[in-house]
Amino acid sequence: MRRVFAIAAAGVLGMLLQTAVLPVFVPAGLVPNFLLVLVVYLAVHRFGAWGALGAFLLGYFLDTFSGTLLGLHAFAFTALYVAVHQIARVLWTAGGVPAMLIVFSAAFADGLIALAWMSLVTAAGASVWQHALRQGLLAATAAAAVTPVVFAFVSWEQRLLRRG
Amino acid sequence: MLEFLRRNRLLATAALFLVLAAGMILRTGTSQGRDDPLGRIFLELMAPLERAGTFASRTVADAWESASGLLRARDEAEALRRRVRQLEQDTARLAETEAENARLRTLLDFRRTLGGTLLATRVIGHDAAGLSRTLVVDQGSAAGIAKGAAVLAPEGIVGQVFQVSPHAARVLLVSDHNSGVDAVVQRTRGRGIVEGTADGRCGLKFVKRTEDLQVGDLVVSSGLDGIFPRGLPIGRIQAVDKQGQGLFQYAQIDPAVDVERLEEVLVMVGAPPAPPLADDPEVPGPPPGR
Repeated sequence: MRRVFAIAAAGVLGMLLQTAVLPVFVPAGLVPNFLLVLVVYLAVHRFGAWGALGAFLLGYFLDTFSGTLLGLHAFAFTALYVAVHQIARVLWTAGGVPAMLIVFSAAFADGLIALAWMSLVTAAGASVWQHALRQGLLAATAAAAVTPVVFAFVSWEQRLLRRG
Repeated sequence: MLEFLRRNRLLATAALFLVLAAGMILRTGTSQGRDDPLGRIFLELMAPLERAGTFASRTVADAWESASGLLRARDEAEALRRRVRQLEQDTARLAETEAENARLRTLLDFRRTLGGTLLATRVIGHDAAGLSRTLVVDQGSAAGIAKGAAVLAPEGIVGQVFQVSPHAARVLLVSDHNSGVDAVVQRTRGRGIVEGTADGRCGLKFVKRTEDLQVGDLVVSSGLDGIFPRGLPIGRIQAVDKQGQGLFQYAQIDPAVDVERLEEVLVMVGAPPAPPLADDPEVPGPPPGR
């Protein structure tokens, strides 16, 4: 329960940063996707089936504040959770550069999944793909950059709750 | 079946959520608007937090903007101040160069008028103590300056070199009490010796009492001492004293050259160009050696 609370609190804080705080200071394309990093955190720490629920809810939460297609990020986050979870079974990705690399890949894959759905549902054109790919690289880099901070923050949060 | 689901709980759960999410995507993609009760709750709960977050970040951003604006303004003001200082320095340097040019041009004209070999030198030092009146110039024996050489300025006689090193020379000023120049009063051609006084001025002595000396008369070099060319101004008579006993009278002279303001002087290299007035019956012999 404490872990759920820790992830939820981190999700709310991440959303606040993504929607209210960082856009004031940072160009739109460079605002990192904190919620995606949290999904990767859940996956590399192998939260199991509950983690899949967490990934879905975090995606849903993001969908509430992003785009018009409900379920887009919920789908992508769930899929990524499963993929990273499988990778984390065989590779150590719980911190450092491996975690950053996995977040980078996950962020890029998130963009691709979202674009694929958009193409399917709203018929996004080639120009949208080009722009989204460029943007995806920037977003993936930004997300990878904040990975150590997010991981450290959630771990600290959990330790704090455990003590409390 | 239950056993399979239990063993693959993660995949089964994920598959369920994936199907659910795909259904939501397809549903919202094909319908107008978005029916999303959970999203409404999220929105509602997040709204005050977002409002506070946005307010706080905008406040910080505004404060930052103001602070950086102030810093920019301060930097700009500092840059402008630096520029003004630079321009002021440039202007001063320019004025200095202009004045130097004028002085050098005068020196050059004087040199042409005078003829002979004159070496332009820069004054680099004054007497270290107040008892004597000397200068140091930036050229010496390496440039041809010899001991005893005449030192001149466009206004008149400055003095003579009394000490030389390869790259510097010391000049005994005409106003020093150890100095002596053979001179004539330009108007009357009355002859005498100009020597320095303790107060930095000059006096004309050994002038016959019968000579008519007037205040304002110009005293020039006679050329008979073999050091200074003939006819160069030494100064003007400021006061005449005939009260002393003997054959001669004394006149106080205001030197033509203000040595305190000298920056460049001409040093005569070699003998002075004009010969002495040997046929002039009024001209006495050379000054007593010092």
